[in-house]
Amino acid sequence: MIIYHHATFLTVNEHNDIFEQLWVEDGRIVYVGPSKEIPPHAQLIDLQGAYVTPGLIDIHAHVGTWAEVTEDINDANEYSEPFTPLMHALDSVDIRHFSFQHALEGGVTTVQTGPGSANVIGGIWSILKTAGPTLASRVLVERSGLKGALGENPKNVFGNQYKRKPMTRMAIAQLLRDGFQRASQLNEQEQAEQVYQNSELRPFIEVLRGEMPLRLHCHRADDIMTAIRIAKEFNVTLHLEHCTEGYLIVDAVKNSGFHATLGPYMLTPSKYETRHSTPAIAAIFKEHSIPFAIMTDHPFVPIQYLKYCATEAIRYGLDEQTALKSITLNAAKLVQLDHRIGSLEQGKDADFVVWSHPIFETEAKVLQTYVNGEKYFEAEGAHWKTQKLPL
Amino acid sequence: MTRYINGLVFNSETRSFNKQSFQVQGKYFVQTTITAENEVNLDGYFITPGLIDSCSQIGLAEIGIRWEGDDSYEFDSHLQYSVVDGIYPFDVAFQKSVSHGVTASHIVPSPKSLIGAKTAIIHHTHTTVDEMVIAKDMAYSFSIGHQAKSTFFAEKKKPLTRMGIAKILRDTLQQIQQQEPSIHKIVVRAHKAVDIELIHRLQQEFNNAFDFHIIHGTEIPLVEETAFHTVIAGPTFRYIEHNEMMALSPKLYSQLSTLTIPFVFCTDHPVSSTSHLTLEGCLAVREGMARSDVLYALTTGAANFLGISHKTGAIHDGLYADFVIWDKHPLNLDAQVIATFIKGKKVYAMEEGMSK
Repeated sequence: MIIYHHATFLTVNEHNDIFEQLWVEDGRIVYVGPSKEIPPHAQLIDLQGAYVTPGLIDIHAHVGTWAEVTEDINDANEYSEPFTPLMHALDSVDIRHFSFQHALEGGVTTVQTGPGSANVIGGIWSILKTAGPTLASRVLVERSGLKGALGENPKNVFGNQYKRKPMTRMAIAQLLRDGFQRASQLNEQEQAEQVYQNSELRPFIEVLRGEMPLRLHCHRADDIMTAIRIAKEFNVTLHLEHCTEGYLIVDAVKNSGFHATLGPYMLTPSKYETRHSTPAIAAIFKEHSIPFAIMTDHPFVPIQYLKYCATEAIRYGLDEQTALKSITLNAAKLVQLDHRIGSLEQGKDADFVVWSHPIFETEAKVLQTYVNGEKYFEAEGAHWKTQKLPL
Repeated sequence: MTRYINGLVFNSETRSFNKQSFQVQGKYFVQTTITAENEVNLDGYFITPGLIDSCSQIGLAEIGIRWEGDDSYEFDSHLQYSVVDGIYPFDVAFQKSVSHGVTASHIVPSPKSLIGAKTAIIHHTHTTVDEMVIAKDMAYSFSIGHQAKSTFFAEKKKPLTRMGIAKILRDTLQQIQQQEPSIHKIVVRAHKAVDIELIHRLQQEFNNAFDFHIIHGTEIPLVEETAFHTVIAGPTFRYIEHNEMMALSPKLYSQLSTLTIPFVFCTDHPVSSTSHLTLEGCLAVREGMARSDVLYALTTGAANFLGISHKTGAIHDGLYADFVIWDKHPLNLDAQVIATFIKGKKVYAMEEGMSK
């Protein structure tokens, strides 16, 4: 057993408790709380007055599949067809990719990653730890959602560039409905057959059965509403990805009962559809009690800057506790993994980050990042020093 | 005349915040003992000079739109190109910018432009570019390495080598000497050490007739030579777009400090966003820079580098009254701008803004 002490442990549990000791055994947290007597066999680690948070979680990123924003090395968008339900994140992810190292440098220990937003139906997402010797050892959820996209991206790639369907939002909606219509016409035995064969209807059947959500990329208000309308037609769970103009139709979003991952609002609006993007959306959703997480959408905002996406929401009116939860516990809840990750609590995975200062302070630097109790990142020259500007 | 009292005002000489008052008459800061018509109490607030972005495409590459609003890149170059002819004063990015305390930018064409244009420094307000310009024909902009090569390949379907780039630069520099003899500054976008070394060679070949300033400078720490004119470093809060940027990290700021290479900050908006200029500063602080030095580089240091310190960049009598009122230290990550003034006029106030 390893006992970490002499640090401020921000648990991010329901009560936002702050404690003095963290005990880790076999990759799990076995105790977090006030200082208590150390058992004789334990190894004691002095964190020298640092600040510890749970490992950060980004539930919308393309880590390992789409590192640089250039099409030569894009393994996130399968441009061959607008309808590619058989694409699977795990077939694209390269665990040796530098984006995993960047994630650890930024204190990110869990990511949901997978296909991008060029296709109306893009494929299956997965949830991974950012460290571990093999892909299999990193997988938390192999099939965590069916990703699709509305609006400008499919219109631009297929209609505008390839001169083929979908050119309009009408065709996008029709393509989105298509898989669900075909799947819902099958009886139980026929559905089981499709799942067994891993046919292109399998993901739709899994979504219809509630085994994973539908995850739809939508920026513009009308696209958000189309996504909600289609989800209600087939009585499936929808998770809104981006939801950029959601604050313009906040009551409709709230009434839908669906949740959202917000961002990447730190990006300069590069297209018409994102021109109303604002970090204020997080505070507005909080005010209306709509559950949300905050994304980097790596590589668009690099994964190591997840913390700064939460800080920007604070600058635009969100309280610090909710901001921190939106990249830890609340993100874990939105992907039903809060029994394992998202806070420092007994029984959870020992994923945690050691910071030089309180996390939202300018000076705060990641000193160490732990995944499943293993230290996978340590800053060079962990001691903080001031330098002079030669100007 | 308005007197602003009791605020914590950034003093560019001491690089510290001191409680002091200052006066604004018309467009300028003024020294006076006359009774002010208005008195504004800034007790509890931090006041800085307006922040200056040392490399930005604001107004040149409009946000929220694609090619229709993008005037940052022309494949066929011409020495008469000037960014002044491409700036759209109603780019909504200007509003966003002043709401984050940035009052002026050095406008540089896109990294796609091997030979770019004459750059200019502009204020972030006004309805015509002529009123916005603080200084024009400040420098010529070049962009070398991967971006220039890949742009050339996209246009010509054949490669451009680093040898070819060097020849184009030499020819262009000779043309500048003949056609635009008053321009001596060249700003060069470069990431890789090998490209930065080419610029050092050109500096010598032309007998220091030009001052070359590197923009980005990702691999400067790998270069043996440490005699640099002021570098426009970063931005570091941005995606890694190609292999030449693999080493990009905010560590660059502390590395440049260690090498005693002078530098200023930029966002290269819309690559990062004009609203993230203080974030670059915050990342430098995280890497060990003193807050006071970073604030200096974001204001007076940038004005000195851009040659506009006789007009703006400090809260000093006789200069344009470009200043920002903050609710806390501007390099706190959650600092908010209460109000921004350009040439004495309020161009942003929080209650009218996008924030709550």
